Amino acid sequence: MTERRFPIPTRKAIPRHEYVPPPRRRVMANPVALAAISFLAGLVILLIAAPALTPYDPLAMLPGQQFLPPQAKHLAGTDLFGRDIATRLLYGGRLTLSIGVVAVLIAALPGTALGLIAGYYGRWSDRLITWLVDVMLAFPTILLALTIIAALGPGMPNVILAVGIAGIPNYTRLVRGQVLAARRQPYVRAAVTVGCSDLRILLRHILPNIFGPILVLATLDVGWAILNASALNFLGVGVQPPRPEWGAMLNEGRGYLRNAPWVSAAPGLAITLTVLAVNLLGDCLRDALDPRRSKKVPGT
Amino acid sequence: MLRYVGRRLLGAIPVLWGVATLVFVIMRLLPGDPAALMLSESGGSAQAVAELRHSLGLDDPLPVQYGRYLFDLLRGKLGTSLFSHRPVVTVIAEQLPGTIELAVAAMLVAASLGTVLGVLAAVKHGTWLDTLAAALSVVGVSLPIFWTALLLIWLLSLKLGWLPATGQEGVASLIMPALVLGFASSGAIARLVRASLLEVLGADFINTARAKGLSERVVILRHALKNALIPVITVMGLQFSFLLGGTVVTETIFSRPGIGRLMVNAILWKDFPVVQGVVLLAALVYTTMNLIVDVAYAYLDPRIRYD
Repeated sequence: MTERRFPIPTRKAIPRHEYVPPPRRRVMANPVALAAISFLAGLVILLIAAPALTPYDPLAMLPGQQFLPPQAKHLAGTDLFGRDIATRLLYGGRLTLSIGVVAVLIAALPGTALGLIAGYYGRWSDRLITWLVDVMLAFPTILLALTIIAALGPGMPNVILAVGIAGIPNYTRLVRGQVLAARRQPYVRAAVTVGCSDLRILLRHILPNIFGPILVLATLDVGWAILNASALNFLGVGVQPPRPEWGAMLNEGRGYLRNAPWVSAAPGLAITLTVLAVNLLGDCLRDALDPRRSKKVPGT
Repeated sequence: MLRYVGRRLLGAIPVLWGVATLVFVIMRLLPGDPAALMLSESGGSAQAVAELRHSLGLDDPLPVQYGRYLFDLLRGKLGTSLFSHRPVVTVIAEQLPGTIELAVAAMLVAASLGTVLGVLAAVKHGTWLDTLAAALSVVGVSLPIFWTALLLIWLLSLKLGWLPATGQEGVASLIMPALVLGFASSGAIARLVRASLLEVLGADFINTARAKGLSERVVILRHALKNALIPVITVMGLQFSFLLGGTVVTETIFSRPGIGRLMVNAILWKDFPVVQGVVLLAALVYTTMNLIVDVAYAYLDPRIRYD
């Protein structure tokens, strides 16, 4: 066996305080992030497996079974029409989560595109887009969403669209700032020098490098979108009865708070836990992608 | 300073014009015909609808309507409510005090709760108090306002009977709505106070204050917090807009008269001039708040020179 004269640099050779593990490992090493991911994964599995998990129909009314408190046969009790609340939670969750994710996609895709254009091309396109963002940000989210619903009419698709549109300016502002900073980086100058097209520079060079902050905002926005969409459903301008959706279910239980508080307690708890998990995951992602923000680093 | 205020005022004009235009565009996308809606209750004939359309100017070309709309806005005219047949300005003016009362009370709750939590978290940095404050602020942003409201109504009115569940009589009826709305935005304020205070606590003038032998309480309250609160003012301005949006849900749940409830009812009754008026007002308030925040910022922090 030959003796190695030079030690091969290994991870152990790097002093412990200097080694920063990659973001994915930092997320997975964070117990809060793990708990949030496990909760959300478990929730998605439950929602997908809903038909196998419950013998009840979310819309079927059971006469004589109205307002039963939580018990073995009805884990979350029954509502005004004798419908099993746990079953409605499972089916309603499908709608609530999909609304959150789709609304974020509607906000993130055009929002990012506008931010890329404003930050990269500058000049009049930047001024025009910044002005549009300022105008949209002047409306409180829920009022902008309500105005769009007033124009398009109530209903679930319009709620998704309204919340999505209201979220666009946040992405535009974030991406614009990131692109402005990235434009001065050597890798972008190098790409310009070798003759890459603008589209290639934006999509293949800049976008992957600024993807982290966009992902963090999108994650946090899923919680934001769920809260706003369920508020609109709660106000009665979205999902129409008897379709189950968490915000709409809360509204149904509102009138029976004195005698049957469980009708609104279950969907309220479901919204809170889901949004909490999403927000915690978003915070952990932000910490992982930006080590300076991590609590363990002193001086931040 | 005056030049700065003037410049910011001029800068707000394009945004307000954009807001007015966006509202006009959205309102003209509406599927219904306002004239037909106005007469739908009395079952007006086609001729009556056409006459009303003409008297409202709805049969004019769009650019003419847009010009008249902007001109009316400049004169403070917002049209007539389709439901109550009264000027929108009057309808809004009647509902405004309730909303202002709620928004200001909620802002007080948010600012005091957020500051206390943020200061505790920063001073006890890294202890369980810091963790608790962080947990509370995440829970604050994750709780739906409408659920917190229902929980409080269930506990404080139905179970304990301490506070009225609905209405607008006296201070007692303001406590729950203000708590619900204020708690929702206290989290964001707490986070910022914490971050800002931690940064200030590392500054040289804090070391000087400590070296002079001042007590920790004086160092934090008189020296550090005063400086740390400056960036917090910006966020409070933004939070005010969030609170204004939050009144939509809060007023509906607590059956309080106000702008938010007016908006929801206007949408359900398809009272478009009122919707338009409320949205324009909210945007105007937001723009004005932003202006006030910017000016306050320049005034409070002598290091900032805008001119």
